Amino acid sequence: MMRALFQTIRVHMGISMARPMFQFIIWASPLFLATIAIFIYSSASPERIFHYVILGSGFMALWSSIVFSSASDINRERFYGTLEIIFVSPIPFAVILIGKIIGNTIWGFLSMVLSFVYLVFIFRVDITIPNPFTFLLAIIFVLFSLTVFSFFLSLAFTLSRQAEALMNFIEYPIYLVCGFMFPVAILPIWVQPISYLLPPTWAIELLRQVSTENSNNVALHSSVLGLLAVTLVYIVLGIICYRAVEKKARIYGKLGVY
Amino acid sequence: MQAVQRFFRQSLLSYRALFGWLDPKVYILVMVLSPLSQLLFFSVLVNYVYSGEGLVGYIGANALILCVLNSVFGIMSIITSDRYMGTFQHVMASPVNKAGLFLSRSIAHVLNGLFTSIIGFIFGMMIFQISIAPDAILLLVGVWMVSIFSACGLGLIIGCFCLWTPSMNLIGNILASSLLLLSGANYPQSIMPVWLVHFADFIPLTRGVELTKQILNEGNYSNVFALLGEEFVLGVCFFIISFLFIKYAEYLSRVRGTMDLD
Amino acid sequence: MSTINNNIINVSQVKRTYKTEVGIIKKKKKEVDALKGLSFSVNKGEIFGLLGPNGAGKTTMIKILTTMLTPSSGEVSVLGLNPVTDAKKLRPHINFILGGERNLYWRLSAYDNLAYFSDLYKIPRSEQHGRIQDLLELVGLQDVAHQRVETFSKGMKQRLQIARGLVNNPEILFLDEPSIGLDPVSARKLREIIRQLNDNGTTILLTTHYMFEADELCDRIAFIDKGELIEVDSPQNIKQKTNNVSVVEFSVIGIEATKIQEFTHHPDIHHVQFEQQEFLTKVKLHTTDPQGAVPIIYENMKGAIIQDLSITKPSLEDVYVQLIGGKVS
Repeated sequence: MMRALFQTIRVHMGISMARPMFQFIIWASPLFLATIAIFIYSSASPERIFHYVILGSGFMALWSSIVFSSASDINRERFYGTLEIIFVSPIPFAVILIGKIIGNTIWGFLSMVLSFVYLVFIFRVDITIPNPFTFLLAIIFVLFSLTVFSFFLSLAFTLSRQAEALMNFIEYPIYLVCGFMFPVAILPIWVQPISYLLPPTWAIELLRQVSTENSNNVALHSSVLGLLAVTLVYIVLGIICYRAVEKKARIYGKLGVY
Repeated sequence: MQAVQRFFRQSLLSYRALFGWLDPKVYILVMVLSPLSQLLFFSVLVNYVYSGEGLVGYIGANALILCVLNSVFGIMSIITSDRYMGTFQHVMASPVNKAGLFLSRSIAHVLNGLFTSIIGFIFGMMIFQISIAPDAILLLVGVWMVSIFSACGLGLIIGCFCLWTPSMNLIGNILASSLLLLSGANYPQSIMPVWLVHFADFIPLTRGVELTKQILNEGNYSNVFALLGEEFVLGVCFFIISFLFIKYAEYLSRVRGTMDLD
Repeated sequence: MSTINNNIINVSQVKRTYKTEVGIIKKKKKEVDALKGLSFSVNKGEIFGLLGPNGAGKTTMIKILTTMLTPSSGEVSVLGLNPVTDAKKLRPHINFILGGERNLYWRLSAYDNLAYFSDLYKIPRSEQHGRIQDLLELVGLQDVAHQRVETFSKGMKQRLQIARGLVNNPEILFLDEPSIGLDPVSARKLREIIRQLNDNGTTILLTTHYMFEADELCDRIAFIDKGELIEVDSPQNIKQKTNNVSVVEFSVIGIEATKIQEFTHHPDIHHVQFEQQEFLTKVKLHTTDPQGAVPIIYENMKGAIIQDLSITKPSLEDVYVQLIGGKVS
């Protein structure tokens, strides 16, 4: 089982990268976004630059890789007619799906690192992380949480054709609602509950907290708990969607076509 | 008169034939909602960072840039889509004047870009509850029209590149991102490194964005004539270059036989 | 039927070389001769067939005649014009159709496709409407004139292509494999249209892989292979040339290929082709002495079961295979 998972990750990372659009999203797009962000924030304090430019553009890279790959992967398989083949293979479909998502998340993470490195070397941005070990733990937690969210998204988008059409247009709305480049607090009050239903909001909040010097423990704990809670919610939602997709496929026989 | 009518008929028919986004649902999603969500993101960001300073100019500039990007993609389809359908060789072998044909095909995309960017701007003004001086409106439409023309010229050149490479989406995206970055739609151009500013001088929309900001923020109309003239010349140059590329492709196909227009 | 004076296409010693570069880092220049000095002429009002295997140079020739490609050397004249230098003058008077489903705007209706190409050929608006209606009627698409092409079947698309090729009422129509991939009924309908056009005075030059189609349609045929002309004449004459040859056909069960190959050594048997099928092997022999050949067959194949033996006149396909030489695929 683990071998199948690793194989899927490896193969899928290759397949994804073969698409020119994905290459653009991983290698080029983050640099453009990071440059635009640093120009906009050019006169801000180092801490704000770290929170909103470095973390913000990093998260944009991560999110784009999820939007343009994980969420649409099932539909792509369906288009090529390979979905049924995967579905009937002895390895559980969930393992293959998770493998794909981990593969994309790894690319997204590399893309995030690329934009860090770019900002540090080209724009001489200072990065001082008060507690690197905690920061690393937080990153791992964040990546896990986003993998869960992708799992839910990719299944949810398989269930509805309408939703699939929307897929390509949720890139910027998420940048906006989850406050990648500015605090969520500046958004209108009625938008903020939506923001806090989405894991990326909590995830970037957590990374900002752990990288702030003398951050208070209450804020840190609340963002850890918040992320944990939404992650659990999406695990449950993911399982529900998985069952629904399986049912749709096996009972109604509607995997290949809508 | 025949020729003029033919010009616009070709423009309309090829827009419908080559541009797949005619389904109203898809049109609204791709041509309107998607740019609007980007516009909203950048407007909120800029409003936050600059504490509202120069906001109306930035919203105008973003409306221009973001909505025009679709036109740039659209104009690339004049060549790529035609080739994909296998009609390009028939078009090239017909007696029609090619420069006139490609110009007529471009017009629809220029108008489409103007339409969506005006919608974008109205949307931005409504969200942030701002208004502009009535005398600026007509001027702004003129400035945008010329800027979009110029951007479409560059788009057509990129479309020609696609006769040589299959990665149209990749090139198109790089172009779109470069326009967003270089035009200075979200920051004063003075922030950019000098060499980048010089580079931006040869890019369409840079002057259009600058004028949009000057007109909307400062009520400064004094540079319109000069900058708009430059933008127009730039656009004409782009179109001439793209026609030369098309001619060269035809030469490669016809004489050298190294390119297949099919 | 025809006189030398009314040639409307003249091709003389035409060569075409493609230079291609192989490899990205170490560039090696490679030259491919697509046409090696081809000469033929087409008479006004005839249907002329260009036949040959894949890679023979048929499409290259059509591209040269339709101004889309220039020859490396040699003389070409179409309607008295040189397609290389007089392309602009020539284009309004000719048109071409490539087989397959592409080469149309799928998102437009049949009518709009024709209107668009009419504009490209500068047909005055006043004439367009009537002309397009006539064309749609000719190809039997008048009822679906305003439906999008993407909803059409393959045969309908191919017929629309024919209509598209006729928007400028060309004096010469070039067709590159017009019937490729069509079902028999659609293909027949297409042949009817081609014949009808020809009756109305359009000169037609077509390429095809289907021998019976060429036999049925063409006034004259040119066989070309590897860029060279093998034979040019009417289908009847070409078949006549092998008049003394008969084709002996049979199926055989339980024999090895080498045994069949042995027939080639026999002086009266000129050509052997065979095709291995699931249980049996289909064999075709060309011979000037069928009476003598039949006993030889039975003698050589003792122990095997021979079925469906027949002696026939060679078809155009038999002549083609004999001339071009080769295997039946």
